[in-house]
Amino acid sequence: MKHREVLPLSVQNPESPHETSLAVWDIPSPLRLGSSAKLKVGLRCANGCPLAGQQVEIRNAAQDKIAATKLGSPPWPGTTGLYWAEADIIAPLSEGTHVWTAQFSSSDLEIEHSPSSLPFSLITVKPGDNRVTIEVVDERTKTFIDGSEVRLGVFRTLTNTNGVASLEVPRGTYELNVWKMGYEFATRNVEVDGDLSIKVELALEPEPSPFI
Amino acid sequence: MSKKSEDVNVSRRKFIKEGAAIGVGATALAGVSAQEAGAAQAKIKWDHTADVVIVGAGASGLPAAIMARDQGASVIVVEENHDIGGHAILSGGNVPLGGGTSLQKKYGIQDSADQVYLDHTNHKNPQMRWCDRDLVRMWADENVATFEFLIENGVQFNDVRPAIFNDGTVPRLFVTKVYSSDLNETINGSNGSGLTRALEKSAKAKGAHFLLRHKMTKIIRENPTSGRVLGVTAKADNKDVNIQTKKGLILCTGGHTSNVEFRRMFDPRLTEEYQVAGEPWSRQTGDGELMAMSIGASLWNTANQQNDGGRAVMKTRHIGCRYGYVNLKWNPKSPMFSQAGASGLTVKTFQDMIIVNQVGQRFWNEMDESYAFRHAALGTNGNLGKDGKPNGGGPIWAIFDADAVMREGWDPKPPNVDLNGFFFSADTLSELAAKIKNPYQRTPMPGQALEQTVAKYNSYVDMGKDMEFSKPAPMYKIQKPPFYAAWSTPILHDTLTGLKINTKCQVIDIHGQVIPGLYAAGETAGGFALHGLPRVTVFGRVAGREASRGVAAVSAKS
Repeated sequence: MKHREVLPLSVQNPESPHETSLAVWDIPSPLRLGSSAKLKVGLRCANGCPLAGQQVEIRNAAQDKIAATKLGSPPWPGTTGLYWAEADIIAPLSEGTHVWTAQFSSSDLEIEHSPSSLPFSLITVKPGDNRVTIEVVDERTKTFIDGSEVRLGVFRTLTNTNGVASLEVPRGTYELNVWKMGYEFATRNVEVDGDLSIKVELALEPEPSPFI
Repeated sequence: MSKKSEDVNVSRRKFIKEGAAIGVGATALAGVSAQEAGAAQAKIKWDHTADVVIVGAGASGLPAAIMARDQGASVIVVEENHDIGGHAILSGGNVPLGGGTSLQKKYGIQDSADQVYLDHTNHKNPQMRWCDRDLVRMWADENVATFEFLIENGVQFNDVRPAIFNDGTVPRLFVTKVYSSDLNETINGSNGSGLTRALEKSAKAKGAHFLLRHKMTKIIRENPTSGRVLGVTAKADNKDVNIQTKKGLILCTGGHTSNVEFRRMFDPRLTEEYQVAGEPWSRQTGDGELMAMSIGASLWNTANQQNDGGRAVMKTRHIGCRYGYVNLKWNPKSPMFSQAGASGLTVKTFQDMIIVNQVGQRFWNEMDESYAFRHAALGTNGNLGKDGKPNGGGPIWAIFDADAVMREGWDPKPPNVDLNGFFFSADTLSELAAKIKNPYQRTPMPGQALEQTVAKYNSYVDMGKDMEFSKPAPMYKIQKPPFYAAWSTPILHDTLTGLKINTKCQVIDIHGQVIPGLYAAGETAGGFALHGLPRVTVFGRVAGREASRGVAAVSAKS
């Protein structure tokens, strides 16, 4: 007798829970110890279900609840169905990197939805009392460069239209990185032991070889 | 296909008629005696005959054709494509020939053939240290003559002071002018069109005949691995066409990079996921090498194919498209664009993204442009070798967010991106990973792995320090929806090895003997790993000159 081939079914079981997934963004960095802040969370159903009104929680590594927020409508601009909300958080009181999670578990939706979680990190710092002023100019023309990224350890900001950035940081030794698209990195170590002014010259990135 | 290319696709009848009128037709040239050609020839019905037959109408085939005509030889050029120009028509038109050319002199630049030779045998340069110095010496000596030959045959250069390139000591780099503003003529508006279209025009004016859409399928030799090369068989309209050469057959077929099995002889990692610059316009199928090897030819200088220098394997610069070679961005108005698929998003800085492998993991510092990055991309990348396909690095994807799109100024839609498997967007990272489907993505990218990779990277951005791959001061988190995955798999370019030739471009067999009547030039030939037009134009011109002189030399060192 000839056996009939049994083909695997590719149709999803209509009773399967809908998959969900999360996004977390606009997390301020760094956060001062114990400071209040806001971040954004979004939730997406793989089947495109409307999720306004659903709750997303933020929990720390010990699974303590940090915040809970209800998703609003319409979806986040540019997305096909990411329902989102802001969440108010309080930064931890210890310095360093903290791994938290955004979590969703379905409650009152008609169709069952799978729970989801997403890890994200934030970094906390002591408040600083030393003002470091950084002036950034073009190495060749000596003109101010605005919009340069300035990183002093974990502290970060941008230069203004006068090519100046300032940061308030605790005493210590930091790696200073200054960069703007089209320029090479300028890197040096900086000892901060009081207010300080630093001038940084950025060199243009060399033109790529024309022989390509 | 453009009307222009139709016009040059010479039918047999038309060729014979026109050829007879100028004295180079098949009838006029069918004068090879049976004694000379041997028994094999007697059985072959020749459809066309010429003194010199050239396979490949690119940057080496065109100079070969012109030079052979200049020597008085009749010439047929056999080309697989529907049009003339080969890979070179899409090139940057960079022609760094030196030694004291007229344009160098115009700018007061002192140079010599000796200095050209020394610059191109410098042991510090990985592209040069393994080269065959006999060939480099001949090439250096022919630089000036070839540059002037190009000018004499209508090639125009931008009149700009030349640049130094490639660790050289003397400015030599002149760039050809774009041939015209008509994309049907230039194909993609590249400077290389100024070289190939000008040479095409000259070759036709001098009486070279082109057989387009003729794919060489066999080299005909008197005996399988001995005797003189008599001609080739080509396939056209599904029929075999036999083309006889009286003096020499020149292989200018452009290398082997598009042939997966052939390229893997030199580097087994180069599996099918690696696309090739120049495709889909021209494919480097290795047919010249394969057919020459089948009649006994040897390869040469194979170490050059992976010398960790030059442009054999390149990091993509235009992402989210299939063909992202740095110097070849497909123009949406190109007649080839429907096959190219998309132009790609041109990356200003790799600070704006992470690069992950097919299982959603970072593998190297994204800012690195060196071969170290390319080796990491071609690494195992989580492949445990248990799926029967342990080689290759798998697809490589650039992952970025809405903020990166703003910073880069991109419009992530067609024609900039190829939604047919080379670009994806989603509201979340997990959903993005699930969407990635591509013929080369053999395993689904785990969403959780991508989420964890991004979370870890974002923590490095917070710290200002990449704890895994030392990306310098990682600047931007990947966090704001929507999220994007863009094809960023390294792309192949140069063929840097090929058939063994001597300084007359005669092909050498595996016993070190000249194969009488067979010549090779350009990327089909081995021995000299120099990228691009300077190598292929010189060797093409020399091959055309030597082949038109007929079979004489028999020494491999001649």
